[in-house]
Amino acid sequence: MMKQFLSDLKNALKARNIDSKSIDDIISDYQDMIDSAIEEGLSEAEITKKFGDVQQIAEELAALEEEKQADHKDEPKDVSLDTDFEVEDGYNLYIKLSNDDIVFEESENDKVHINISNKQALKGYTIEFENNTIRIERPKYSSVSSYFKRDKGLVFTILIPKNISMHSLHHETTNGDTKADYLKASRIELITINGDGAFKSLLSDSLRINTVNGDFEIDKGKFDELNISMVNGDVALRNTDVKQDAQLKTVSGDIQVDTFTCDTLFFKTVSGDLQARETYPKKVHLKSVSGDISITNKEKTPFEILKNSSLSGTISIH
Amino acid sequence: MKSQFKRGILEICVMSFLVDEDLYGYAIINRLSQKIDVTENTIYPILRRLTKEGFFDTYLKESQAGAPRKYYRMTYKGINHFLRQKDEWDAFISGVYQILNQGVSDDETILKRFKERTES
Repeated sequence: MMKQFLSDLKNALKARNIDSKSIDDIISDYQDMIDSAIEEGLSEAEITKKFGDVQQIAEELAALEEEKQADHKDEPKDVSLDTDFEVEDGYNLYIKLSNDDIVFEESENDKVHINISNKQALKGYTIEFENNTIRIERPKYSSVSSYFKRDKGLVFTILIPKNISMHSLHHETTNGDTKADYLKASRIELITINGDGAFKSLLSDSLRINTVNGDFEIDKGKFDELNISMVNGDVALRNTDVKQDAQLKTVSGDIQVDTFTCDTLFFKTVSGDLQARETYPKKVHLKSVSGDISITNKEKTPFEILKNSSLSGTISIH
Repeated sequence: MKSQFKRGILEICVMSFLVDEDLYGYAIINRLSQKIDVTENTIYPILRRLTKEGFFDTYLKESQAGAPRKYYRMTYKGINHFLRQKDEWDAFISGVYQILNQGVSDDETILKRFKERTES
């Protein structure tokens, strides 16, 4: 059955110079699908209607084969790109990406060094240095169809000179993850939708983290002000000192804090939990709808509780 | 509709079927065609494309009627890709709805609003 359809398809594929191995593959898949459809009692006419136009199928499959070949032509693919930027004290780093990961590393060098994993894929990105500011930006979307563009995402490794001070770091990403073993800037702003962040030794006058689903982890943080706001992401803070206030806001994400000091700790949640150990704020401002809050300390240093409202969650401080 | 755009949507739909179970090619086409008019679109090239990308893998399984069927199975790479695409789609489509409906969704109200503005 369906011999006509299969032979039409085979001819249409041949006419588009698709290699014979792929053609055999495709025809066998169609035979498979035709068998299933017949088992379910469909007529030839119904099947043909469901499968669509032979010429269009062949056209799309040919386009797919071409993409495959183009991928091969680009090989070797992982040619990386290295660039240096001669920054001065008080420089800024502005990053806006979609699916790309970023790794920050500390460097003895006096230049900011950026390594990008795949030079070929860098098309459309902006990387510029002007007025002591480095800007890294993803390609601008030009049409709705680019919503479905298959971005594999690049890896940016950025070496941050230890001896030159950074004024501001703005890092905005949709799905990319961020990792840093050392990072210091007067102002740090991290904004992600799904991207995660893992930081060791993070130092800043003002750190602001804003995420929807991303998980963040900070070990050894030193800040004047800390402001974390998230929807579903989880946050873990360890060995962190905040000179002034720490504001932690979450809808349903959980927050874990271990060894932490600050002036006033603001914690506001709908259903997320706050679990804190060895946490010594001067004042605490707690607000929860159904999230549970627990603070467990060895030293019984008293702290002032400014507000303590919880509708159904429990608050335990001991 | 632009074909690349439509293909993107169909890709998400196809991927969503494979979140809960492995399916054979015809079952995917059949399910899709129950909800969306796919006669002018071709689903198989989408299956092949997503398999080539590593979002699906395939295996053969005997069917009750005899001949083995080729089943498609979502990979971890695939589920990650699906979730990302779904988020982008949700964000995009909610923006579109907000713009198109401006608070109301029925044609009558929209037409009335236009008439009030132009006929006064």
